[in-house]
Amino acid sequence: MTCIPGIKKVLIANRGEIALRIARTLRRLEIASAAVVHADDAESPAAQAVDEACAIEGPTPVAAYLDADQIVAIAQRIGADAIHPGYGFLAENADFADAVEAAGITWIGPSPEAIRLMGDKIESRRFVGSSGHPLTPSANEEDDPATFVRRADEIGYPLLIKASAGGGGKGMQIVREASELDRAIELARSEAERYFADGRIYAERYVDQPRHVEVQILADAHGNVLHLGERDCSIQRRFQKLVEETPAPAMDDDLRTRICDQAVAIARKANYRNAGTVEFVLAPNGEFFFLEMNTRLQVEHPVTEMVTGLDLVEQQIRVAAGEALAFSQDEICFEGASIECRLCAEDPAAEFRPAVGELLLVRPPTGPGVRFDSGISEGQHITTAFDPMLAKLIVHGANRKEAIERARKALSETVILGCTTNAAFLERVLGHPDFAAGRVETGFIPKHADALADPDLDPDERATILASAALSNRDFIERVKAVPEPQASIGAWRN
Amino acid sequence: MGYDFALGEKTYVVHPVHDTGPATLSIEGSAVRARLLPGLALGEYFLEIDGRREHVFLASRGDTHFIHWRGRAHRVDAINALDRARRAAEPSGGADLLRAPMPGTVVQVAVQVGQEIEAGALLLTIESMKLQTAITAPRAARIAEVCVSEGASFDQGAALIRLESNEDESLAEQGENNGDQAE
Amino acid sequence: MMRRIESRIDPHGADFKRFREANLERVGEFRRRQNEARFERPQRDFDRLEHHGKNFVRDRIDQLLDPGTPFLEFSSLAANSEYDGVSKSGSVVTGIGIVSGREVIIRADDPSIKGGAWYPLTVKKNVRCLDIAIENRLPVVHLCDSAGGFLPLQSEMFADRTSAGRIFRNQAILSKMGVPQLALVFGHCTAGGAYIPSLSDYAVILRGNGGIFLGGPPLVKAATGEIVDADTLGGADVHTQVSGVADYAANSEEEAILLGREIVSQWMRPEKARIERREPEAPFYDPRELYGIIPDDIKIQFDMREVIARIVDGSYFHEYQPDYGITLVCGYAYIWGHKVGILANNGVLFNDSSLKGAHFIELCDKNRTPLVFLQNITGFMVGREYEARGICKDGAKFIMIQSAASVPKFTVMINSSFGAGNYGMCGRAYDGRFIFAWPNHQIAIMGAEQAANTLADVKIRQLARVGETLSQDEIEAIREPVIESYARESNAYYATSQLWDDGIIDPVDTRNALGIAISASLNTPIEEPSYGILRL
Repeated sequence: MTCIPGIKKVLIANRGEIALRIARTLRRLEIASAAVVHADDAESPAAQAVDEACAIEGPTPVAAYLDADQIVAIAQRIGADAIHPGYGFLAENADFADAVEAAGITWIGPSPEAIRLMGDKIESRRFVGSSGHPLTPSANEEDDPATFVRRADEIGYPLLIKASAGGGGKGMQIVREASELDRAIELARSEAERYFADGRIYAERYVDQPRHVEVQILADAHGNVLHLGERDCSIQRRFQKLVEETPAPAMDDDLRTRICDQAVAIARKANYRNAGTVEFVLAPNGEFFFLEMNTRLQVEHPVTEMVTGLDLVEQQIRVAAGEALAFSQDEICFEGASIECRLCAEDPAAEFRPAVGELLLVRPPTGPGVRFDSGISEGQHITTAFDPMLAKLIVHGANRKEAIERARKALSETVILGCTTNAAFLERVLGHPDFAAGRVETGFIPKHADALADPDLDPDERATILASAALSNRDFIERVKAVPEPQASIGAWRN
Repeated sequence: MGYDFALGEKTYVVHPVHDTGPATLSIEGSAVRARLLPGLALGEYFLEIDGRREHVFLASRGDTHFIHWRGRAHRVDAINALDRARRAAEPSGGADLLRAPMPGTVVQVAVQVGQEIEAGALLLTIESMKLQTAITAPRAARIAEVCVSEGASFDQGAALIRLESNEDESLAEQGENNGDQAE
Repeated sequence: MMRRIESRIDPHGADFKRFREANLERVGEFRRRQNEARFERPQRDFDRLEHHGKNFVRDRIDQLLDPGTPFLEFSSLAANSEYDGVSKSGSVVTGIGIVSGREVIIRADDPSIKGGAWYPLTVKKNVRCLDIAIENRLPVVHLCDSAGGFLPLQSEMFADRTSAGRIFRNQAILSKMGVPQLALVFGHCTAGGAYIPSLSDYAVILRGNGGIFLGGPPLVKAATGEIVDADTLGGADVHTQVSGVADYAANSEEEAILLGREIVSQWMRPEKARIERREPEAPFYDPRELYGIIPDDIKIQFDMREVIARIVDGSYFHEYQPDYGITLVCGYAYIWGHKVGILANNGVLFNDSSLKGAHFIELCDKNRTPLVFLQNITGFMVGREYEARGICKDGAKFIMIQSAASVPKFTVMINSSFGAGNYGMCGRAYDGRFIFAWPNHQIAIMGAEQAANTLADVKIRQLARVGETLSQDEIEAIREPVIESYARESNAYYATSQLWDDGIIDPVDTRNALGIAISASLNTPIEEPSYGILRL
């Protein structure tokens, strides 16, 4: 019986791929689904997939999805029992979580206190540090603005200046030498003001060639806190994740266990409930430091689902409904390996500039172990109004090698025409010998920029492409057909 | 003179060199026999080219063609040669001078120097022979110069407005995560 | 359904080899002279073109034509024997090409020769190409760039019926027939030349170099004292914005040509006359073997069937009356998929071959089958027996029917073309749509030897009447000059210089030339057959 008592209708406060993915689980669980939908998304697969599409408005489409009051009002109007915020938008907005709960609606996520505590970079670091967990050496400006610059300098170089309220790679500056410090502080502060309306900053040691390893946490309201394995998200570009995988490659089991245990301990200390992710920085020498905690479901959650066989959204709903986790840590099976690639509307050949266009043809990949989470459909116009991520390609294999093969095959078979994507670029990343060897770190992409660049086309390849275009071009075909016989057969002859 | 197709940064000439049977094309000076056959799925095609059979996916919008082949997507634009020749032959390269179609007076100037306008935007209104005519922008551009003022009289052919050509729409400025997406 | 001609020549024989060497030399000579006429100019003339920003005439044509399509050029060696050879190709390039999928006549002035000035033979070539346009209902694209008439020779090209005025008359008739014309003005169109764009349906004029005026600046100054520059007098802006003499202004030659192509693509494609057709097929025998078949001496006979076999599709031929009138080979074949009736000479014309020819033409006329004449004829048979049998009236019947045939006629002068044989076999005067010649061909009222002997004989008889004789030297003195002048004036190059044909072609190009010519001719409907009175 998949019905969950107390949750008859869920409102999805999100859009695109994640909204569609949540809707799927709701349908499977026979829970009525609703979503807030901006006019721009009216034709989207997510809007079509839910039982009720509720119009929202705003000065910009993004503003609409950030309008907490409007969303709560809609939830009340349609009688939703719960709201799932997805990721991004208001997912980590503690005030929104408060408002939802105040309206008597179940919040599918951690408590607002946990969001406040762990969602704030400075607060969470202070909390974790005071609990005896490993932290990168850091300095908070707030602690003593007058000495901040000196304390930052003492951390040692290279270091990062980061926005406290930041996320998504914004408001970060790398400082390699003392001479750059003042300027970096200024820049970080102004970016923080601009993007997060919160100019608080802190400094943190920057680990060179770090790996980004995170642990999926699942906790219920009955004191059970489990981990669902770690994920390696080192392949990034400008602090945006591109490829995520589980289990983390080239890691011995002892280290793996220690990281996961640390994550569980941190979550337990924070009284965490529902799904969340604890992120660490792993140095080449095996040291690891707490980075931050994400108090929501993550983009890359599918790789965990592939190896554990669990539906994380379902687990989130059950926990929110008050159920206890139906399994213990030992009962969780980890099978095989899984890789996720983020397909984005951007042009790797033009410095990854965001791409736009009408999606003329979309043909998702298929095959054993292939999962394609997308919110796009043919005829959709990709604009710069929303995030450039179009879809997630997730594959599962018996081992990492098989997962890589399947992912590469699926990437080359993914047809998205009309808007430039990074699909071929991702395939080259996965095909790079360093990736196969597990030599991943956050500088992977800039380090291998030359090898990952679009290879030039040779004349035969150009001929294939140009012939295809010419023979598709209506004007060309018409003019070719217009040439009468026998001249057409005689060809370019002169007497 | 062949038919021009832009692929990447460069333009290539493709032209038909006929033969009995499938089309023979001349691409970069070499003769190539090619035939495009539809596959089963929408957008799926088989290109038979010089004895090889290539599996491609094609989608077109007007004169822009997208090709998916061997895991890579490519974009080819068919270029109308006359448009290209017109643009190349335009005098005072880059600038666009709009002249008065007939003698008259300026009723209203709707733009200022430095303003960015869309194609079709109203630039100024003129009056001649008791008829008012709207002078609109032939393309998106920035106003380089306003050559007349309201109330002024002018002859046929007189310069009215000069446009600058725009740089490429700089998408780089827009569209970095607008704050809605985590890491 | 037809049977294939069985070739009987021995490609390894001594004759074949000897003939082949001779013909390769002849063709080599032809190609060399043609290349020179087409492309070689004094460097200063190329420099002058560049100085004015003008493209070479053949580059303009290449840009205008649909890529990957043929261009059948007429009379590439026009005027080669006149004016000290200055007027290469007669200072104008004409031919049939494909523009935007349509068959058109292209007439292009060549400004690299004396500014494109028209010589008397230039006028003749221009008139001829417009005659072709009229007879075959082919649209015309003029590429105008001429300094006007070459004034020192005005008496040869102004006043007569087919002089320069005929060009504009032909344009008017074409227009009356509803056949479109486009003029691309790349240079000056002065005086009469100004009528070319004015009489064309569409005119594009190039800013800068283009100019159209009935009187150019020097003439205007001389006539009224007014001083004005060419652009102000008749440039693009005047004619496209004020006078309406031209329809479009272009800022570059490339733009003008592309615009021209866009204009041509607006024209309706006509329906063609229906004739019997079949999928084309290359000849079974290699056309290059023609070089080994045509003898090196004009007196040596050869079998025309061997020539036919290397021109027609699949070398298939249905021979008509194979056992009668054997000096004229008649039969059906296909050329580039078009069914045609072929008449080809295997000797002089007798009574029976004349009647056979006349009858076969009637069959083709009724059957709507175009006619192809392959000439190798020295004349009709002479002698008492043949006169008594009425060779005059049999030849007359042949000429009567051939002249009046309604189906399109095409002639290739392959070897000899002498006397009345030329007439019967559809020589120039008989309104064949196109007439081509091979480099070895000779054409005259009679052979040189025959003429020399005849003239000497006349003198001998004259003197005999008064009791005198001629010495061998005196006879030679009469014969030599005749042979010399005939040699000069009856060879292929002289003939083509005078535009007695539409061009010399390499024998291996015959199939393509005929294929294109036949296709072009079908734009005119085929009338019902009818003839004058046959002296039976």
